[in-house]
Amino acid sequence: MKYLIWHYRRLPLLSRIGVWIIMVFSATAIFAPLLAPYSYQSQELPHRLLGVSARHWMGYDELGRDILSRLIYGSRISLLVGIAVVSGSALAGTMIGAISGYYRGWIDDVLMRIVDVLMAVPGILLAIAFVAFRGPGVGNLITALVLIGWVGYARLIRGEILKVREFEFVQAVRAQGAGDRRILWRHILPNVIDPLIVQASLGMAGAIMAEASLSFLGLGITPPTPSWGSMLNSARNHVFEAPHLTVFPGTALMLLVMAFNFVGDGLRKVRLQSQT
Amino acid sequence: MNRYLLRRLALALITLWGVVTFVFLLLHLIPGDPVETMLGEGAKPAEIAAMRKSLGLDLPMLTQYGHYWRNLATGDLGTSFRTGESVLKTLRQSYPATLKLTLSSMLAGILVSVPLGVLAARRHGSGVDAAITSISLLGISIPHFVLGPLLIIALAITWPLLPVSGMGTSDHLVLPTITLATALAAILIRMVRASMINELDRPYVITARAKGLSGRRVTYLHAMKNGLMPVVTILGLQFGGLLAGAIITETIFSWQGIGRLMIQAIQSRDYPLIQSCILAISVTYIFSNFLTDLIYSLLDPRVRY
Repeated sequence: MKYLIWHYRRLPLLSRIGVWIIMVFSATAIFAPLLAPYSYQSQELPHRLLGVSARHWMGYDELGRDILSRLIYGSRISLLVGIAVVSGSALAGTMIGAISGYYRGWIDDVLMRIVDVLMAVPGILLAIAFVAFRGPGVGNLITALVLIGWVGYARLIRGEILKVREFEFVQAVRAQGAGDRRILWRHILPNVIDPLIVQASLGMAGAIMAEASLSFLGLGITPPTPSWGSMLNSARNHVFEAPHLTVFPGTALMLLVMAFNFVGDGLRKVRLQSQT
Repeated sequence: MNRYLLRRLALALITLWGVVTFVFLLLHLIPGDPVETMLGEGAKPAEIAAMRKSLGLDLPMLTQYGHYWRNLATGDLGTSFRTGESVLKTLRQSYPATLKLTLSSMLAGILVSVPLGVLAARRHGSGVDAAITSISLLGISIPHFVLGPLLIIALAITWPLLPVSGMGTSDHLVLPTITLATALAAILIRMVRASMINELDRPYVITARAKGLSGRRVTYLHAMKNGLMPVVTILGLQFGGLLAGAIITETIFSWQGIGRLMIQAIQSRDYPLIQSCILAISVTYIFSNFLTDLIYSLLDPRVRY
C-alpha cells in the first residue's frame, strides 16, 4: 500500500486524474446492483428512445430500457474483459518471454519469429477472424484477445531479461548454486515487474477498446448482457431521432480508455525519470 | 539488394506463409462439424456429404493444405455461399473502395499532423504545445465507432453539410476520412513532435542558427528532413491500424469496401468470403510494411547494415 501511494505521488497530474477515473468506474462496476436505479433488462416499450429526464438521467434506449442502468452494468463487462485479457496475456507473455530471454538459442529464435509474424498483421483482424469462426461470446472474445495480446508482453519481458541476466547479482546467485528456475522466478522476474505494469496499464486501454470494437461489430458480447460496444451498435440505427443513445456510452468508453492511457503514460515517464 | 532488405523480405514471406496457414486453419476452428454449421439444422446427410466433398473437407488435412496453396496460386479463392459468385470477383469490386478510404485518410493524417507536430516542437513547453498535445491525446482515445456517429450527428444531421453515409461523390468521402484519420493524426502529431524536439537540439541546428539562418529556415529545411525520418516507419506500421479501423468505419458509413464486405460475410456465415477478406487485408498490410522498409532504406543509407 505504501508502495502504491509513493508511486501515486510521483505521477503527473493527468495520470492522477486517470487513477481517480479508474477508481470511480471500478466502484461502479463492483456496486452495480446497488447503484443502478433500474434493472438493465426491464423494458418500457412506450418510452422507447425517450430523452433525458429527472427520473431517467440518460433516457431510454431503443427497447425502452434505462440507459444509465445499462451503462453501469456495462462497466462490469469492460473491466472484466480488460482484466481477464491483460492477466492472461501478461501471464502467457511473461512465461514465453522469460523462456526466450533466459535460455536464448534456438528456442528464442523460434519464439521470436512467431512474435514477429504476429506483430506483422493487425491484431484486431486476427481477433475478428477467430471470433467469426468460433462464434461470439465472452469466452471466445477473451481467448481471441489473449491470443493476440501475449506478443507485446513476450517481447518486452525478453528484452528486460536479456538486460537483467547479465547483472552481477545474477552471477552471484548462480555461484551460490541456485538453479535456473529459482534464478528466473525469484531473482530476475521481480526486477522486470515495473515495465510490465506500464504495459499492463496501456494493455487495459487496448483490451477495453478491442472488446467494445468487437461488440460494436456484433462479434463480442451477446445480448441481453449490456456492453458499451453493443449499446453503441444498436444506437447506430437511431442516430437521427435519439443521439443520446450514442453520446452516453461513447463518453463512458472514452473516459475509461483515456484514464488507462494517462496512467500508463505517467508510469512510463516516472520509470524513465528514475532510470536516468 | 542489401542485407537489410533481404532480411525484411524474408520476414514478409514468413509472415505471408503464417497468414495463409492461419486463414486455412480458420475453417477448422468452427465448433463441431463445419459443414453442418454452414448448412444449418435439418440438412440431409447427402447434402452434407456433397458439401464436404466440394470443399475438399473429406481429404486428409495435409492434402487440403496443399490444395489450398494450389488454388491460391491460380487465383481461385472459391465461391461465395451467399451469392454464388467467385470470391475473387467480389473482392475486386470492394478492394478499390477500401484503398481509396485508407489512402485518403493517410494523406489527411499526414497533412494535419506534420504542421501541428512541427509547430508544437518549435514552441516546446508553451501553451500552444500543451493545447496540441492535449488534443492529440483526445484523438488517440476516441474510438472510430464513437467519433463516426458523433460526426454524423454534428455535420450531417444538426448542420446538414455532408451526406450521412454511402458512396459516390467526393462529399461522401469526407466524414469517413475524418473518422479514420483522427487517430492516425493524433499518433503522428506525438511522433513528429518528439522527433523534431530531439532534432532541434542537435549541434548542426545550433550551427545553422549561429550562421545566421532564420529559425524557420532551419526548422523546415534542415531539421525536418531528419526529423521526419522515424515518422516514415510509423506510417507503415499505422497502415495496419488504418486497415483495421476501416472495417469499423466502413460499417458505420455503409462504405462498400472490404471491411464492410467482411462483416456482412460474417453475419451470413459466408466462410470462403470471410477467409479471403482476412487474407486480402493481411496481404495488403504485409506489402505496405515491406514497402515502408524499402522507402526507409532509400531515405536513410545507415540502415543498410
